[in-house]
Amino acid sequence: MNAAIEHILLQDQLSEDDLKVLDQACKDDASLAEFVRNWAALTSQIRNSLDQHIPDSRLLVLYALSESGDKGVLTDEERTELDAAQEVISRALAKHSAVEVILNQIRSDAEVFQNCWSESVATSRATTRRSPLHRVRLPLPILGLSVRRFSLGLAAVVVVLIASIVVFRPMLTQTSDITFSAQEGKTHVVNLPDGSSVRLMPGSAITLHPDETFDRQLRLVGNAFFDVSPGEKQFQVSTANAVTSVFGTSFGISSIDDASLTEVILVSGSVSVATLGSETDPVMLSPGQYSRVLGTDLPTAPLDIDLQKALAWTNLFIFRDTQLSVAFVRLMESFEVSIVVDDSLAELTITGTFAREQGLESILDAIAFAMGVRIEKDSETGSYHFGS
Amino acid sequence: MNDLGKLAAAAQDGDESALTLLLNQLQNIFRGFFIRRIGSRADVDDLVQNALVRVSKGLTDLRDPEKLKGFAMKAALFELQDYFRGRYSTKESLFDALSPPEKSTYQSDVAASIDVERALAQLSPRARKIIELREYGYRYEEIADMIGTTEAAVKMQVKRAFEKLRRFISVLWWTVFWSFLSNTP
Repeated sequence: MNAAIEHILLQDQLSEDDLKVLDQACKDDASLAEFVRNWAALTSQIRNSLDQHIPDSRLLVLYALSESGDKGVLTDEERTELDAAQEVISRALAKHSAVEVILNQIRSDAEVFQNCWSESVATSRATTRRSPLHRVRLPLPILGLSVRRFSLGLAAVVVVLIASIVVFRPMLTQTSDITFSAQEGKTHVVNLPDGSSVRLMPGSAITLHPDETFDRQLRLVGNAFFDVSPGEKQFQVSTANAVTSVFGTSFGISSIDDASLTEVILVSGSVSVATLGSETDPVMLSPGQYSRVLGTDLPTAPLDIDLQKALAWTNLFIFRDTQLSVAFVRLMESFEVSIVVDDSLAELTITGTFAREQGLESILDAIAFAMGVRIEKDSETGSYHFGS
Repeated sequence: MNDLGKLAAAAQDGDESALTLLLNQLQNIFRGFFIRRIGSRADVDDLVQNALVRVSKGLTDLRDPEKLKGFAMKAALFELQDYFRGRYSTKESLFDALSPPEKSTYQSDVAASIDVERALAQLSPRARKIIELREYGYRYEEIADMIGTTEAAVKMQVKRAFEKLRRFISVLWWTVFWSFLSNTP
């Protein structure tokens, strides 16, 4: 079996192109066709056996929860149902070693859910406290819940960044502040109660006060990219030696506590940067500008910079009225692929922020979706064609 | 009672606005959970909606609104498991899409005689576990996380399973071939 065919067979899910290649290869090689047929029979047999022996998903979940000591979450009816299914589950465990792994995964999923619950309650506490039920502005009815589709612009920034969440771990401090931190080697996104988001780079942390109405005052240690929703209150980020104040914008802050060095790079909107203790002497930045605060010195004068280079540490592709052809050059360099764009589209501009870990196809899909154009992949060359 | 519990109780009493507010708050929790588990935005939207429908339909059966967290958790976990089990529902195309080329006699014989159970027995326990998880609906990357290894190591196990199956088919062919020769006068 050649490497290309092996690669196809090891895909999670075969695309139509994969199937065409495989089909042709099977026509050309009878022994490969025989192998593929038998492999399909083998996996089909496993699948049938799983379907036959593993109880429905509901029972599996209830069993996993009951075995992890979460019996309290089961109702009396569910416990009775589970008791009746014990034999079936025991048989499934004996027949398929995967079942134990699946049960462990369900327990792990339950922990993830409980963390999400705690984080949401912690971050929204202020909102719910200041908004008694009878005064809350009514949200959309359930049938009106919109299926949020990504589009370029701020919404895209938020959605893209949310997608990169891996772990979101709040730690209560002595003062009841909440600190969100990104482990070494991981990038994490924190969604704040006011709709803003913070992309924390590895080893960085932000602290906020959740107990009162969210005051949009954050303390940052390390590096982070902020996407701030417009709001009546000023959004302030303090580092060891500087204060950055904004109303609604996106910007990156890189700070080193030990060296008392803070660097602020503005993508959109406007921000003021001041030395801690000298807030009356701020420097105003415009999009694409940079300022630095070293120790107790005043901020440096605004300096025009290349956003993409200056914010390379964020692993973001930041496009602001960027020509499609220019944006694609960046993507091509980063992902080492070829992207061909129709001449009629090349000069159109896009605005949006994408995370590298989102993957090239996902980024291209988002751009194509927002622009209402088609994207096709050449299965032979691996290049992409972007056209109307 | 916590805030969400109060909303649940009010919703059970027929307060439509409380129900809507509750579902909107749960929506954020569900979204965060599903994004962490599967990441794919389009799928997350569907899962969130389905989980909300489960909560909405089952809320009247929730006897103790204080237990809303467990109730919502089960809704999310049920949806997630259903999602995994249905994820590859179109994978049958792998087999169906193949129109096998004309087969020689030995191929027909092997195809007819292959014993899937015996072929399965050729697999190592680890490979079988991986293939079971794959057929259940998990992706190789997820399987790697679940069994504490790398995606490359998982795929290596599957690759070895390919090789074993090929050898198995080859042995079967020789068995059929020698059987044919020995029965030839």
